[in-house]
Amino acid sequence: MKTNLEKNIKEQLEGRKVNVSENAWDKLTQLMDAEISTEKELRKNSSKWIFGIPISIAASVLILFGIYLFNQDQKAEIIVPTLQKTERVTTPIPNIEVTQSPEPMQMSETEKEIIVFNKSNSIKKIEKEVQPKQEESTIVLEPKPENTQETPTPTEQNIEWVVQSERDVKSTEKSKYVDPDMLLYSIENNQAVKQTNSDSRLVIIDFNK
Amino acid sequence: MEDLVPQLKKQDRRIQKELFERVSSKMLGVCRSYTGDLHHAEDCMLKAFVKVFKNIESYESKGSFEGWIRRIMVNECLDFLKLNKSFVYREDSDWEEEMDFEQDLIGFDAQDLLDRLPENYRVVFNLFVLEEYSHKEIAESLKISESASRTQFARAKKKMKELIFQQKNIANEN
Repeated sequence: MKTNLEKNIKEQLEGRKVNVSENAWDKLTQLMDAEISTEKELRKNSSKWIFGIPISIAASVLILFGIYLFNQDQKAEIIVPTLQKTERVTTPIPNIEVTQSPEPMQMSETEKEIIVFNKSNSIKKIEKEVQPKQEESTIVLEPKPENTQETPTPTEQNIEWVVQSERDVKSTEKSKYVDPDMLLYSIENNQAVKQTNSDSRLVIIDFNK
Repeated sequence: MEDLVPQLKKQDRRIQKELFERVSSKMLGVCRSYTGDLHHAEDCMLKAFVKVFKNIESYESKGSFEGWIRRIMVNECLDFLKLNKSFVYREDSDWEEEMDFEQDLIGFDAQDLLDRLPENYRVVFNLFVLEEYSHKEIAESLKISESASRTQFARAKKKMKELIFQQKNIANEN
């Protein structure tokens, strides 16, 4: 229920009219024009966003694809040194200690040691074929010519490792059997050829006999 | 006035001007009862008219068109007062039911009384008396509690009563 105070104030103020300023309409039109221009700008900005979003997505996809390709190239570059490393194993290495890579630890039954005679007297060759499980490379011990006369035994220090080609491997594979030339040489020089065991591949030639 | 709505929806500037000329003085009176001075009242009214023309599509012809415009005016004034932080509502619960004010207000300027009220009192008083909002609606629109609205209203009336007595005493002395 309304009091007299409320009723009186409402009666006075409800239908009241206050004259507006003369330029009120002009001010209103300015405000409306400003509102319209800001709306247009907002629409332009929103349209920019509409076009900008797909462009930015496409750009980001391209960047990601580029990064992916770059990573792929890096992986390929990483593989190359490992291949070079395998090549290094097959190249001639001057020192025995260097060539004794972990792979000789994997030597299988194919490991064999054959003593080969050169045509010249008192020159001995020790041929050691090392055949890893996966690689078919053969390493042959070959003493230096100048050291051969000074060092009669094959276990001397100046021994040179030579890696033979695939063709040489075949020849060395053949040499694990009795070489006719060697046999002839041994017979001519009346030297005894001993085979320690029937199953063994080691052939010992006694030079003292 | 409702006959202007279809043309207003076409954003016809001539019709907009016609509506402005018809209701602007009345709406300025509404805004004046909420703001402290005429200058701010006109600013609020102009901004509210921009909203009226912009949101004319949302008017569904269910209620009075003038009432719809008036509501926009009041909301604009409230936004203006909130923006300027000119009033702060305290959560008071020690309000008392006011005594009925039986005195006649003939010879008193209602706007002068309102202007001399603190703004928080004036706004609640106007919303309750002029807009006929309930305290619940006032609480929602001003984001205050219902009890705070009741307290502000009671204090507004008490203050008005004091002002009227002061004015009467001055008049009697003279």
